[in-house]
Amino acid sequence: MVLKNRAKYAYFFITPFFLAYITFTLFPILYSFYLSFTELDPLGGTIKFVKFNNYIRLFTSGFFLQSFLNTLAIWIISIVPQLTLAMVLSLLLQAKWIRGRRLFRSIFYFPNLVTPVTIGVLFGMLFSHPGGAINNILLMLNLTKEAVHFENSPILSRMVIGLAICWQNFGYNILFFTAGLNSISSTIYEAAEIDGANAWQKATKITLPLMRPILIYVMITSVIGGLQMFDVSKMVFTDVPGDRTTTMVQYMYESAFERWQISFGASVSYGIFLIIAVLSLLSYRVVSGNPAPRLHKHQTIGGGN
Amino acid sequence: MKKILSILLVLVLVSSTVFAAGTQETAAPAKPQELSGTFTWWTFFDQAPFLKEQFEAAYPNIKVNLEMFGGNEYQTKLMTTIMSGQGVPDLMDLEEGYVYKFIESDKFADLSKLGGDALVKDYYSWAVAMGRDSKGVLKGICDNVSPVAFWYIRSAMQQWLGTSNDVEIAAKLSDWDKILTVARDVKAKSNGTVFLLPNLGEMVKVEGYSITPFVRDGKFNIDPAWYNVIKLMRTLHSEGLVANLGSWSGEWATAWNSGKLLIRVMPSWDFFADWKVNTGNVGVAKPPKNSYEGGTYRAIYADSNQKALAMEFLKFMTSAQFQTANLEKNNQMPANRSVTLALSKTYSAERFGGQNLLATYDAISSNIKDITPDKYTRRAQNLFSKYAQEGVRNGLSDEQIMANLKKALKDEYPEILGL
Repeated sequence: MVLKNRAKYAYFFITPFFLAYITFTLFPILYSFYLSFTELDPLGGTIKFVKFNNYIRLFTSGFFLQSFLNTLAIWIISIVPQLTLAMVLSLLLQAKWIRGRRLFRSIFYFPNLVTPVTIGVLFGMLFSHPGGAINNILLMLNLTKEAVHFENSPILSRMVIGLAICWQNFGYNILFFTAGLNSISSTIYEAAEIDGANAWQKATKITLPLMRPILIYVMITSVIGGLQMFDVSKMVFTDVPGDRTTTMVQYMYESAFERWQISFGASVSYGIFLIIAVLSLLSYRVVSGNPAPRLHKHQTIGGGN
Repeated sequence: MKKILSILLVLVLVSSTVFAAGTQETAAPAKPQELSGTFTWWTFFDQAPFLKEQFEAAYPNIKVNLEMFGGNEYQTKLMTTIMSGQGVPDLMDLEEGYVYKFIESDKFADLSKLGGDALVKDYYSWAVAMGRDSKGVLKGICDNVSPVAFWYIRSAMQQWLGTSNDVEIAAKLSDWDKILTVARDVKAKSNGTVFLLPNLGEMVKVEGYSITPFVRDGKFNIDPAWYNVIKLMRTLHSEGLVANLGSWSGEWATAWNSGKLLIRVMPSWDFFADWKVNTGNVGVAKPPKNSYEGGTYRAIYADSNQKALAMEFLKFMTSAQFQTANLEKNNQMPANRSVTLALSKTYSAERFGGQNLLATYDAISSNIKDITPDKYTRRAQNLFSKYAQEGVRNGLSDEQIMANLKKALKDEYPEILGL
């Protein structure tokens, strides 16, 4: 009886969350899905059902495909050094001979506290042509004869944006890697040492395999977050030839909130959702070496058999 | 009996019309002090408080509830508020870049029906045309205009062109052939350290409103004059006659303020001059073509119950009193040509070396074509500028440049015909 009453209270306590979730998350998700099959005139207030027209427009638009490739390219440019740097620094900061490890971790985390818009403006100024700080340094050191026009080059402009995202996020990933490293019991390393394992063997045979759950998490969140990139890429450069730095979310934003093609913008959102879902599953398979996550009949959510 | 009744009815109607008209003609307009109430005005414009202050001083019993919003959020907030129909302001500021998206809607009052035509009768006609929807209905009114001119540093022009006089400079740069000659000359004399023009995109700003827009009545068309712009860009690029400094960039402003870049093509509201260094040393010359960039239009919400007060505000904003004060305080060029003409007889701007800016800007503004832009006009122009510059740099043919423009326009606005 007491348990039944307690269950009632539980419903009472979780109700505000579900009300907020339904109002501000679930309803907009479902409504935008509905909108993606319509043509909404925002000021006229008229709404017309257009079947799959928006999706046909989306998937036949070379610009959306281009924005997907741009996003993927910038994401790859940023994620590879980002995770490598985070892992190397995490391993280094595990070494007991390094003094001030906490201070270093804090310093590495600082860029993550800066807003993406600020980072975008900052990198835009650093790499501007011809008088940005980077060009001044390159010219001072005689590394180039004339100022480099980073914005005018699709490859360089993507690299600059990738660098900005990497700089912003590597400290964040250090947190996860450090937590993962700390969770590995020292007894495993001690046992390996007794068996004669060297540092490389310990890293590849113990650390990395046991870090896999953390790697999976970091990879999947990186795919989701990375493919949603918007602020930094929009702010660093504004006029890259061939729109080579326009990301998918930027394309959606411009459609929905600059041209006010809200219904088409909704279909772009679902296109992005589909792409992120597929790539997240793919990255899970690559990192875990397993097929897509699926609960077996004899498994429970708690994880036990 | 029926006949008598009909005659009586006609008499009643005619007499009531006559008396009503008589009443309208004889009734004295209410004095500003006699009007009272409150209305809400939304804007993105940082000079709006000056107008509010001036208006409230002239109309002491009317309170303006001014709300300012920054950046792109303003447009989003405005759109979503109008969509919801809740808390919509009585008066709204609409920037040139998106005014056409809004005024096509019947959510905005027909200002002609509220007496708007009388307010703009002395305006530059293109400035009125910008406030009309595609059916020609007046939906927005501005208080200032933004004609585009060649901004220069007097000492630099004296050094490289031998004169700092705006009329003489305008004569030396009165067509593109002359401009090319001067650009070559400056580059040669300075050993490539000083440039006349900043980048290839500046041509579009000058030519933009002298050429028929790419999209008219929903159809895509290419005025052959656009090809001349590409041709000009090719010459400037191949001979290295531009400084390749992006408009509005820090380097662009620095180069101009230091005399390394002689001309910036900017509207009258330019804010990149370093007045600490260059007060009295700035000049403005008429370009070969007449054009504008920017504009703030005020529109009244159709369902507002404060339309009369909002119209009174527009009346004040269009008056000689305010437009003169706005010129003195903010260097904003009056949209009312009669104000410009009256003041231009004796006007001189200290910061501009005593130049009669009004005379210069009137020569531009009075020659701008009356093109009522639509939601495609500025966007198509910007896309053309982008693809033409890219194409010229990468050696694309005219046809490839236009094909890229069409492709981009089709992606953004698939409803345009002829793409």
